[in-house]
Amino acid sequence: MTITMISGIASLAVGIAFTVMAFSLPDASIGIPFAPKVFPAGLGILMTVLSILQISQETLRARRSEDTTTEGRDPYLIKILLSCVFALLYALLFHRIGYVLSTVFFLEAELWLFNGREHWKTNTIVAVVFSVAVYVLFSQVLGVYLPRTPIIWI
Amino acid sequence: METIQLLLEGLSVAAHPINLMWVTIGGILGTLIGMLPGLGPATGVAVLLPMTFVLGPQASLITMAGVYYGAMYGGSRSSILINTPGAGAAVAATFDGYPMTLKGRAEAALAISAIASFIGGIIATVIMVAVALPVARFALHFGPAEYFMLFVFALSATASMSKGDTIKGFIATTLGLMISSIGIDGQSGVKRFTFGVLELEAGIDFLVVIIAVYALGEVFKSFRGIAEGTKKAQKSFGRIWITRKDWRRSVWPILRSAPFGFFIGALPGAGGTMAALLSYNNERQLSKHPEEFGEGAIEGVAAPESANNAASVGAMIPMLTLGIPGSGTTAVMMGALLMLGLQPGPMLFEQQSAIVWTLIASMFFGNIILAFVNIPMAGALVRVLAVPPKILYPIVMSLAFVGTYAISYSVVDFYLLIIFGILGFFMAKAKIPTTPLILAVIVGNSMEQSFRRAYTISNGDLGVFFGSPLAIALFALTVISILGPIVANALRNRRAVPAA
Repeated sequence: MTITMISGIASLAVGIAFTVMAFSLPDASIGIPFAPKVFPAGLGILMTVLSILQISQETLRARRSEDTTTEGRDPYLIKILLSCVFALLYALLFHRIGYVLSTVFFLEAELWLFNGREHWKTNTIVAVVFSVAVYVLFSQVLGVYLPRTPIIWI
Repeated sequence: METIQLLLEGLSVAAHPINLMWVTIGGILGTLIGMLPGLGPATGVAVLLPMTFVLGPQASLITMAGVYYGAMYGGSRSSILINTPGAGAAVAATFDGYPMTLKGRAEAALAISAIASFIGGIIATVIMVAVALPVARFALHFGPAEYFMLFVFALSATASMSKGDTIKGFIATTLGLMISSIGIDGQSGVKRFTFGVLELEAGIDFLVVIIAVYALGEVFKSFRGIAEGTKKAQKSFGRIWITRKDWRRSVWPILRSAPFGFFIGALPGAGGTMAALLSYNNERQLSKHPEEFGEGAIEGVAAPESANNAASVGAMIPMLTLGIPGSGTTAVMMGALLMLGLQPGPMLFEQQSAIVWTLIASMFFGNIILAFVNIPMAGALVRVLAVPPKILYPIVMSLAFVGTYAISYSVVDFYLLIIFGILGFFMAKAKIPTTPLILAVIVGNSMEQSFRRAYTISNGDLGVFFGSPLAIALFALTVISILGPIVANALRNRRAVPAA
């Protein structure tokens, strides 16, 4: 299955779900009762039609060219997934351990992915300097209060 | 006369030393970001935007305009030096700019690209000053139904002109509109698509979507590029300037391309990339030595650089006067205005005229400053290209998070950031264009509001959307914008089949 086909099927699912949900929205208590539903319902139907068009176009294309080769899996997918996992952990730790410490961990992890483990000295310097610099810039200069890290008080 | 007076007032505010400082800082940051491959003006503005909120609307907008134009100037630095466009609009600069570098003429290429950008930018700003007010005044006649049809036209033009096929463009647009309809409906108080999540009731902040797609999505995509290694850029330069002969060859192409680029930029859906490519083709056809194009012809750098800078100014016209962004980057600029509590559109010129004219005036100063930044300082700035992306991309990612936090002070947006970052990455994999999605997310709310207003006025009669000549004309334009590329494709295929 090609990625175009997969995206077509995903859009179809979104289109149908959105349409169903739009029609089951509660009525407005003022004005025209179904007014809040018209626009979303239109979007849901449009999405459904578009994805059916895309799926049929892709089916025709596949039949004509008999080209059933699927794109190989992205070799960097694992790195992207890990990136997202680190980002999730970052979100979880952000308020608990404060901006500076959580950002040092996050950057260290991302740099490990991008720059490699062997450059751990550079990675650590970049992570610490960047986190502290951004903290100072935001909280002292721009007046954006970032969560403080306990114990070290920044 | 009114225009000149308003412009003079704007110039006097923009010339304030503090504002000049902001446009310079913005311009330098923009140039640096624009130079980095993969990170264009949209990413630059998206990542830096949250930091400028505290400056207040005027300074924030001036800084953002600096970033925007700076990134346009910077994008071509890496096109010329490492054959990798820093932004889409700079792609035409690789055709002759990189061959010039290979022939040892990098200095002339860098100089002419900055000179052409400067002249293109100034000419376009002059045109903008002339047309902004009349367009805004005309748009005041639009009722909600006409406005809705205008949104339909702008979105479908963008979808059908975006890279990849038309259906995918429309899927991206529809998805964007769906995202913008999440949250409590402002007119009826009905909760829509919130899945019981309290934080979704206020709706999804378009800035989060923008930062996610343009910053995280780009970083995810860059894993492959990093693994494939980066090219070394030339680091030492002679005097960055051009010869008299270079100037004679370039001056007409620059002057011709500027109004042309402005016009293309003002069209919905067509942006700097299209302006640059079209003007490059024009010049090749007009040239007495077309065989030199692609081998390092200096007018092959001058013309597209002038056109794309002019287009970036032209794109501000529909955004400021109608509230309809014509490109990804102007969509982000519009996001900036909305975030600062300014609703772009005809009323902006009536109610916030001082801010608008200061912004327009700062375009003049921005272009002058950027010409200085990019010619004498070019040698120093391109050293940024030597900083390994392996270190820069994680930093961009981290800035995306802290920027998001600065907008809402909420970690919930971090999860949305991750979700939309992944969405942006997969859309790129499936070759679904992201620009229509961003545009739709930004205008979605206003679009539905004008729909609802027209719908309520007409008491639920959808005929209202075809009730005036203007609305019908906009509908016709929409149909043409959708069918045009399809018909052109079919004709091309028919011609291609007998040959094959």
